[in-house]
Amino acid sequence: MTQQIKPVYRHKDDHRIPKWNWVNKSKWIVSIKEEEDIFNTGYSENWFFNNDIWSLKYTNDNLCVIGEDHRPEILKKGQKYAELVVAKFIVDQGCWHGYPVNPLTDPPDSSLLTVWSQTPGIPKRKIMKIHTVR
Amino acid sequence: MFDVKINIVGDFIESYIYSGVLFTVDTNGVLCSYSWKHLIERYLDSYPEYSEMKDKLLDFRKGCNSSLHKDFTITIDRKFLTQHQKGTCTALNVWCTDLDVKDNIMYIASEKGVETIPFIDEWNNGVVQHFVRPEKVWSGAKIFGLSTGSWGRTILAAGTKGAIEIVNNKVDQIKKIGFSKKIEKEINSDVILGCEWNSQSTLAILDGIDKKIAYKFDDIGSDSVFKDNKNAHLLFGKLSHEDKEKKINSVLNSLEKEDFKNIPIDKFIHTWLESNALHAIDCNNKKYVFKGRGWVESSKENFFNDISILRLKNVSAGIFLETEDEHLFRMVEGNKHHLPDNFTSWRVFPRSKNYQDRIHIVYDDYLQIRIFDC
Repeated sequence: MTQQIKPVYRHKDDHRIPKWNWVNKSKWIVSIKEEEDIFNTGYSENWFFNNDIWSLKYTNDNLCVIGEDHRPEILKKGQKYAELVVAKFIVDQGCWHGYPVNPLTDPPDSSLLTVWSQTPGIPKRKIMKIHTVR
Repeated sequence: MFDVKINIVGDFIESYIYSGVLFTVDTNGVLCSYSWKHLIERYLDSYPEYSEMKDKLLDFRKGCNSSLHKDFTITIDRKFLTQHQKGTCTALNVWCTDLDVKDNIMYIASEKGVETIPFIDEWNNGVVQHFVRPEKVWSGAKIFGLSTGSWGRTILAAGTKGAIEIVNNKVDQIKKIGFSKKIEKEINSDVILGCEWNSQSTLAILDGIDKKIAYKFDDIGSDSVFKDNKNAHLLFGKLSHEDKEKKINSVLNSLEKEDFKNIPIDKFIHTWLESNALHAIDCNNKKYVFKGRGWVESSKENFFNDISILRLKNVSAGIFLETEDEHLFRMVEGNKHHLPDNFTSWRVFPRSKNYQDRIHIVYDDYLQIRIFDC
């Protein structure tokens, strides 16, 4: 279903320094403008699953790192953070906000993997890495 | 050292071969089966100059008697594949993370958990022409990998839910001994992304987020005489009533009380299963093998130098390993061969008797089945 009205987007402080809570929140490492662009890409491409929008930033046949996950329980030894390439956006009272997600704890649905892997410019092998968390 | 590359054009994410049936899963989540023999024979109808390779293409055990004199590449395009599909397709509606086939039951791991597609009645001498509806066997979390064992036992790599062992009560052996209890046992509570059982289901390796974890399981004994096939029926019939009772009671007891012990592997940089045994390598490239009670030094391997191993599998065609920086290598006779990068997934068949000589590699636009001289 195509969304006709331009959505309202507002970033949230708790996924950005200085208000970011590293213990249980992921962190955006792209600018607020880029965050909104990532949202707009997902919205315009109709990358919905249930009521949420999922999105990526891709360029030159690669996925861009857009966030970090610092939760120690999901990190490899010696690793300070996990690099995140997928974002999830949720709507609350008509206003959207979002955050980068770790596919280990927040896996994108297969329907999204299908459309992403079939989108020119997004390499299938990178989508498979998201899927298998390897 | 020559090889044959069979490139099958398509937008795949996974493939598997079992008893003469090639299975593929594409990016739309569609599972297809193909009679491998039929595909190869139809191809050779058009290219009789390759006929001498037929056995090699079909089966490791048949093909071992012939060796290659040069490299070959065979391309099977979409039209040919569709036209000569002796098989069927069904929508899984999901991207699988792993596949396994045991006792003519396909196990599919995905975000739905684990589903099975039995093709006991549908399997006909290397052809599966009908898939029944997938049946859910476990749905508590996304499953990242699975490994089937004897007596319907299956280890699930359940991500943040750890590693779990379940028993599929639908397998013939379990039905035959009258075991109906639901088994769901936590093996490990760390984050687990993959798992592998040896063919006797006595040794298992789990892939944690930053380390391997190995276990030694109680030997429950073979389930082969309890299977639903002619040979098994014959062997089962030869057992005395007392022996049958004794065996059944022992298995029933073991399934409920099955125990496993951790095998210490902290000093190693990598651990893997090879020829049914647990092998490991330390930071000095010394190779070890696990012998029941402990580790025994076996040899020194230099080809692991400067490699950070993500995944390693050993078959007759060599050691295949994927590195942390996304390269794929084949190690054979002391040499390291770099296989083309940019692969989506790859699979070898270490527990298979027929497909020890090949690797399936999924690339962007095709599946490559690469068959090596044994």
